[in-house]
Amino acid sequence: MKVQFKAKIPKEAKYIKDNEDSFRWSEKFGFAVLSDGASESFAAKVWSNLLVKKFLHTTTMDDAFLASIHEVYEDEINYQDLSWSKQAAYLRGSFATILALWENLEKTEVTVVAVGDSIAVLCKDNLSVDSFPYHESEEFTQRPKLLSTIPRHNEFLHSQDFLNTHQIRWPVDTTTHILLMTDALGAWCLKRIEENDPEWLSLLDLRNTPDFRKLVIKERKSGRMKIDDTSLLVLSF
Amino acid sequence: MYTSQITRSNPSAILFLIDQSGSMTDHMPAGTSKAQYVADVLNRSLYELTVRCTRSDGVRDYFHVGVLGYNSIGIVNGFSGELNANLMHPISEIESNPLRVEERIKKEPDGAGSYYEFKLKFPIWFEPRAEGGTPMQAALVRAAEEISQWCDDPNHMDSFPPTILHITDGESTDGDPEELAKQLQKLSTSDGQVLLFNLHLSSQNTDPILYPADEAALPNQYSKMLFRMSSPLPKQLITYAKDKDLAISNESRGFVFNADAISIVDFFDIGSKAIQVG
Repeated sequence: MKVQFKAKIPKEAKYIKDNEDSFRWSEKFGFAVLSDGASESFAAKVWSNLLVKKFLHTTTMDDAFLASIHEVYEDEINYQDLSWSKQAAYLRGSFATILALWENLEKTEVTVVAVGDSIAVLCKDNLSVDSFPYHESEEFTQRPKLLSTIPRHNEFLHSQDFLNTHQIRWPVDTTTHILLMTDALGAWCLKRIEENDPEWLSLLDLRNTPDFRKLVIKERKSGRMKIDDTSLLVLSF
Repeated sequence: MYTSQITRSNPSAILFLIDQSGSMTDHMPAGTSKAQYVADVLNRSLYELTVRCTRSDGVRDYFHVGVLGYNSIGIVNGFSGELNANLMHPISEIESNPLRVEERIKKEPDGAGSYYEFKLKFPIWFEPRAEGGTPMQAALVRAAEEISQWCDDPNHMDSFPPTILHITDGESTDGDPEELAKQLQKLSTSDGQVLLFNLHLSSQNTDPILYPADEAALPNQYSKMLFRMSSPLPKQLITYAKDKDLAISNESRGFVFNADAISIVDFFDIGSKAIQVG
């Protein structure tokens, strides 16, 4: 697996450091992880960063694993020193998506695990073949489940069909590309595919961040892309 | 229309318009005075709005907020202390300047079928106040002046349009306010017209009503008038409200009778996604 392109564009140009998307990858181990911290969270950036850091080398998503991440999160916050509004926001929690992908040892297949509305799009020979966990742009209007710092919000992880609904396997070969995207770009990409608009293919040709920024800003201005932190990883095999 | 995203570069505005007339000493069916109810609604709305804008690194100014109180003494800035100098304030200034911060005990489910209690700091910005008449027309004119100025600011021209939350028992003493309310709703940014929400407080022992679609079922002439003065809910707000499980139809208006108005604060999408709070 190779990371052919990766970039993130902040929601507001003035606040680059507040970009709450995070991603990491390891070509050596065939892993890539993306997370979108929900803006309306106390510490979305910290939480999404911790999630990708810890998810980079795991294939398990359970209570114990989340608890270990939560412990580090708690260490970064001193509740008693917070202002009244920060205490209240802290108690409501932080939320983030996770989109993790890893190759099997034979490098013939990838497993994708997704919680929330960050999506992966599978392309073969420059054609979109599948997407996960959403298949239609309309799905982005729903309220996604997210991983939270408040354990009771993560109860959906205990569902018996969790793996059936949150995990998929895709075959890969040298003609394969996989796009990992946060929601604004994901919704835009699926919409372009639905409308047979070839503009989404430009994502596969991106080689530098300024070109990606130009595309995102143009699409935001046209109203076709939601103004949100926007991240993309393009993987080739 | 009503699609502009609320960001720090593109904030929106909320103006609370508060009836502080003598009739607000009357009691609600549950026993509290209308004035006390208003103070509670205001304090909780500001709390909710502020917390929604708070991050680990501080309070983000997604909103400018003001309060206009009115009675026969005049139409005045409803804030005291530091906040009394100007009418509209970035939400971070509201956060920093409550009159006092109280400690309250809150119960939350512990995830194992039980509850745990903890102390929560709760700021107070307003005390109940009630005296004199109800110059609703004059109050709407003043609100229009302030909101017009906000919309004319080049920094706000493309913002999500301001929302006015008017809390009253509806008994205007300076004439019929309906036409003025319509004029007020004609003010706009490039993203749409000003939204006027009315919260009607009544001593009448009738079930609360939230966001009705017509006036037929409303209990008295004041409710019906305030319903007609209220903005139809834009499609985007209806979507968010439905998402939060509020019973709302496509014809609903921003009118609430004897009910909590906190849900109005929840209408605004200031995040990248709705979160599963609660």
